[in-house]
Amino acid sequence: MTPDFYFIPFESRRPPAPVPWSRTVERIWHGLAIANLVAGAVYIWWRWAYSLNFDAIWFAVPLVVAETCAYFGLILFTANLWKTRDYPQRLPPASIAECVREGEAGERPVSVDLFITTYNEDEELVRLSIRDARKVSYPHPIDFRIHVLDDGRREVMRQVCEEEGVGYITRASNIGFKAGNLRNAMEQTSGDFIVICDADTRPFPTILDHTLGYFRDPDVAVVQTPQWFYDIPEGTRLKDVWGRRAGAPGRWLGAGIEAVFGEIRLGEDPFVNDPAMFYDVIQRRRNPWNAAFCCGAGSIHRREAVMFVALRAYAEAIAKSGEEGRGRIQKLLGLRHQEDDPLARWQAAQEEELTPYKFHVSEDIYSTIVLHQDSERKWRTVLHPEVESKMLSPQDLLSWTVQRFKYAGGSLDIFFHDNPVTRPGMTLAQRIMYLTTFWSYLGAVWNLVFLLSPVIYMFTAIAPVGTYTGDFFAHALPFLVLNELAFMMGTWGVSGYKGKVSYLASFPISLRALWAVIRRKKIAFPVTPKQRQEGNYLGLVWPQIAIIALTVTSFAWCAFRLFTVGGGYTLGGLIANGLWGLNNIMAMSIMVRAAFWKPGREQER
Amino acid sequence: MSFRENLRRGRSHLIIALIMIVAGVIIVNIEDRTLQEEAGKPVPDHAFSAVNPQD
Repeated sequence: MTPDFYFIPFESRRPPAPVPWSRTVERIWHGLAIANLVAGAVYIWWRWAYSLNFDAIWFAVPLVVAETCAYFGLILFTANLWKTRDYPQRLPPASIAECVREGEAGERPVSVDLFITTYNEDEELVRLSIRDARKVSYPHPIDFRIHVLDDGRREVMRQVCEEEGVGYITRASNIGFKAGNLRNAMEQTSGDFIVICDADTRPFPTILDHTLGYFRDPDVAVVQTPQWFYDIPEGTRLKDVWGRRAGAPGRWLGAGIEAVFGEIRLGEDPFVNDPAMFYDVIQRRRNPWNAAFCCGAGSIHRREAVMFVALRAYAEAIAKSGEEGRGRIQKLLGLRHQEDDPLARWQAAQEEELTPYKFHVSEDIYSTIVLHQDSERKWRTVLHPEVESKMLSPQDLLSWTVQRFKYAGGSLDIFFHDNPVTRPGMTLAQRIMYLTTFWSYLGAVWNLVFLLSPVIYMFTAIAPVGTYTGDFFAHALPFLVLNELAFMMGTWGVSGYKGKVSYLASFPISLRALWAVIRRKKIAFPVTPKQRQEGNYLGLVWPQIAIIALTVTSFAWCAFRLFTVGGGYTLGGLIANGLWGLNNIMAMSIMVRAAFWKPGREQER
Repeated sequence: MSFRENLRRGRSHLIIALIMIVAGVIIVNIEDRTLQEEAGKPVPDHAFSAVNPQD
């Protein structure tokens, strides 16, 4: 019997279709994007050249530097979103010979291994994933095998696998965590293609039918499908909430507001987990530049590509270690330099391990980077636009924070210690796309400046700009308004507000990750819990609460001083910084509300 | 997906743009009036140069 999981009522939910491409929308986006970048360049130039308040250089310069960094991020993000060109979808291959270069393989059915990685998740949760995996269909004969990769070494899990008739693979240690788990399974299997699933990934029957066709191109190494969280709370309509609280007047008022602004739902997606913006917009629009990266669950890999890259990385590591080892041996024995010292190479080979997936907290993106750096083979990665599996979202702030910290820490670790943007191998477009990802995590630094700037003005009456008069708005407004309009068209069909504010509000996570990486502290691999964790999460959002408190207090102080003694404040300054602070408070409040969120009636059952 | 639904999803951009335009116009008027009162004469076209001696 299936346990009483919170997500059972949502089993019948269906994923949204990909955002349809429109030439007209894309052209409007291009026009607005160019106008936005030009207006932004004019504004930034004016800020540096004419607007700095030299009486408060300690405040004016950090803010203008932050604005410049944000503008550079805007250029990168515009490049990322520039166009949608999906990789051509082809019919599923009947034979492996159709997926490789001529003569590289004989005529035989395609073989696929589906891996379900698990560590400590509920065995019955994994059983649901196994059962959905067993329903995967294919229009041709296929050698399809399902394996549960259990790093928890659980006897109960083994029994579940036996009952369901699928393979069970485990190992003596947890070296390399998920990447090590996958490597261990690869050593014991032989399928041409590998489907990666997490414990809660429930593949749809069409996953192979819709994705294996991409591998007819022998250069395609990885196909990533969008991750879709089918358990995201849908919230309650504004008119219903107000109707419950205030009766008919509340309902009418709510309905009136919704009539003007469209449907409004309260309590919808409290953790801003909806990944549509990431997969449907950001990742999908990297297809034209061959820069979509693997995100783990829901991806299909060509085994040959994974092993090819692993061998290359292995050889490079031996060469590198060999040089170091040779140096040590020469120093120890007092030998003179000798090329290709076999002893050093043999020793290095013993020390290095062949790792198909990088042993790293962000092994997914890291392994894709290695693929993209292979300039000789020119591997391709594809973002397939349709959802082909469903999975569970983090259900509490702790799980959400753990996940985001891993993303931020992993990406920043790669940026600082093995930066693909500067290393050889990639095309210019690929470098720009990866820089966009890394830059977004560095954004926490300038976001902090943006959060504190209105507070500083409202406490001290020191403005970072010379004045809030026509000249300032003549330069700032066109840029800010065009920015909103451009990204409304650039992300047409996807709601971006929550994503935008959660990016601003998650600054403490990225800052902590940045601090850990700078100190070369290892980013831990905690498994993201799949069940809701009970607890008090206020401790996780104290920076956001502090920003709200500072902004409210400074606003009250500013207003009091302005209307009593003047204190060097201006009404324009109060309004401008008050609105800026209000925007910051609204962004922070999303995270604070998430700390208090508990499943509603729709989730409690 | 209908135009109306797409517009609903992008409404935050329109609302923010509208607020910024309205706030900008109000602030500029207030600041110009204040400067005018302080200076005792109309504010020039580029008000910034009136208050920043570096220009």
